[in-house]
Amino acid sequence: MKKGAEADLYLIDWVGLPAVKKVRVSKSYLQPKLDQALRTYRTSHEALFLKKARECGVLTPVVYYVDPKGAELIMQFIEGIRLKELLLSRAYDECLKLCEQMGKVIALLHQGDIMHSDLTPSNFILSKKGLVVIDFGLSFTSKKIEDRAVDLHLLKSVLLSTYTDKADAFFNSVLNGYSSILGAEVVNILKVKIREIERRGRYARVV
Amino acid sequence: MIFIERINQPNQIYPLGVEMNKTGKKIVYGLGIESTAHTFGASVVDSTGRILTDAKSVYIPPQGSGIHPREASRHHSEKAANVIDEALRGAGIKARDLSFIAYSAGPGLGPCLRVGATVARAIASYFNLPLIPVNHAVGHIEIAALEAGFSDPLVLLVSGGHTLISAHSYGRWRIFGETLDITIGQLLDQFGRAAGFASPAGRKLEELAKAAERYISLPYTVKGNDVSFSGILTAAKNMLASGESLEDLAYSLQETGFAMLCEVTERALAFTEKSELLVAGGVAANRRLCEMLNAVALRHNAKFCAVSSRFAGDCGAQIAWAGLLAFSTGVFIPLEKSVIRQSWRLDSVDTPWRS
Repeated sequence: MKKGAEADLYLIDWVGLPAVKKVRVSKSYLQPKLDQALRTYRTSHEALFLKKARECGVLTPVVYYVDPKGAELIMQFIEGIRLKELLLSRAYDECLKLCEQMGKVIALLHQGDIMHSDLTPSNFILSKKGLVVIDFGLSFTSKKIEDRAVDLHLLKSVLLSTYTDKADAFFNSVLNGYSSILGAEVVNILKVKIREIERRGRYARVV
Repeated sequence: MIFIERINQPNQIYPLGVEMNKTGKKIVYGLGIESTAHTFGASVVDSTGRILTDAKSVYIPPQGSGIHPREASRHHSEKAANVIDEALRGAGIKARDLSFIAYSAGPGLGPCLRVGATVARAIASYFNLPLIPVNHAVGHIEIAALEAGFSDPLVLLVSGGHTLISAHSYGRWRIFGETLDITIGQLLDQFGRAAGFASPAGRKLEELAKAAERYISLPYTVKGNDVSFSGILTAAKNMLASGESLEDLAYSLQETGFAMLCEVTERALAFTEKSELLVAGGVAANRRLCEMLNAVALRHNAKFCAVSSRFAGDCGAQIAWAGLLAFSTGVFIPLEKSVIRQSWRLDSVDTPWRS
């Protein structure tokens, strides 16, 4: 179905249900021990966090089968379009609404102490039921405000590099959605923290 | 130590399709001055797109220490005249034959940048030449792209000053991933320093890694498209202090650090769907890293090229070449505004020659 950066995806039939098999392929150029450790860790983590996220009220694919050693995960097939494409093709106002929705979903994850660690519009699929989040391989749990800010900072950079001129508006909509769940006060703290992270990076935009 | 190289690439085709020779048949010469960190470099390019000379003098810190900005800048001011003289003489021209002066305006170490900028200003004002500020990272990327013959690559820039992934869009080199703290070059150098080597220590560590016997697990930190190397540095230094084998650690440090770079590069490659992968900057000289990146490119059917060792490290040619590109599109800076910018981000630089 698709060859991603990290894994190959296959559309399969799972006892009569359309399913996605995600295989984290072995990479010959990596040190073998490191390769195996990464694949196993991420596969089991992804399965775990797909479930945890659903418990927080976030739509995720249902996990049917997981084999950490073989780095294989079989999950529900989600029919829909990725936000990455929608944000490139839809009208501006609709894009802002989608970003707001994305912000709400992120807030729900953060409310449940789940840091996704790979928040990009490619990892959100708009389905009939709503916005579905995928790719939890890098996720972890945390209660720290710093980690939440890093999570959002990553999304901000991706928006900037992909939707350059609209990025600021998009990100503001994300924060609006976020604050509708967790409140404006939290968002203000996060904004300061995100700024701090940017300044800490190399060659920060110094004002 | 000053060495000079004449680079013979006659009839090199300018890859970006920009008309370089705007003054009719007369060939125009430009001088590029590099002084961001340990290297003071000067290079002459001409409007047919040839790099005629690339002279440099490198400040070498004492064993076990890094670059001391004041000492490096002192080195630069002592060597500047000689290096520039070598660059001009090698090209067979005099300063009055020049049409522009390009200098590295940042990012880099303040005291070092100031030497290059001061020299550039002096020559520009004496001969009444346009002064062109060049972003050091743009210089690294453009010269690598020139050498590879790539027109629209995804670039991994890895050096002591940079660790970032970039591709060109909307008139600028946009950043798709970068380090959240120190660079891969700093990781290698600072670990090398703890082991008693002088910076840059990359080559020394690459040699040591070949004699390793086992892989030691080290912290692996990838956050989305970004990497962080501070944790792995601390862990490796602590293990070295507690008596782990230097060879094993050098090997494991390379394997783990490079794997992180490969992962984010692969993600960016899948995301941007570029068909060319280019690695630029000093760490591009590492064979193991290139071998790994080559495999990444293969997996995504992209062409791969690493900048040659001649242009991997800091050099005047990168500034001269990027300066020429800027000059060809009318970019220059008035003398009174020609400040240096220690933290000049790549994605804040307009690049009209690519738009």
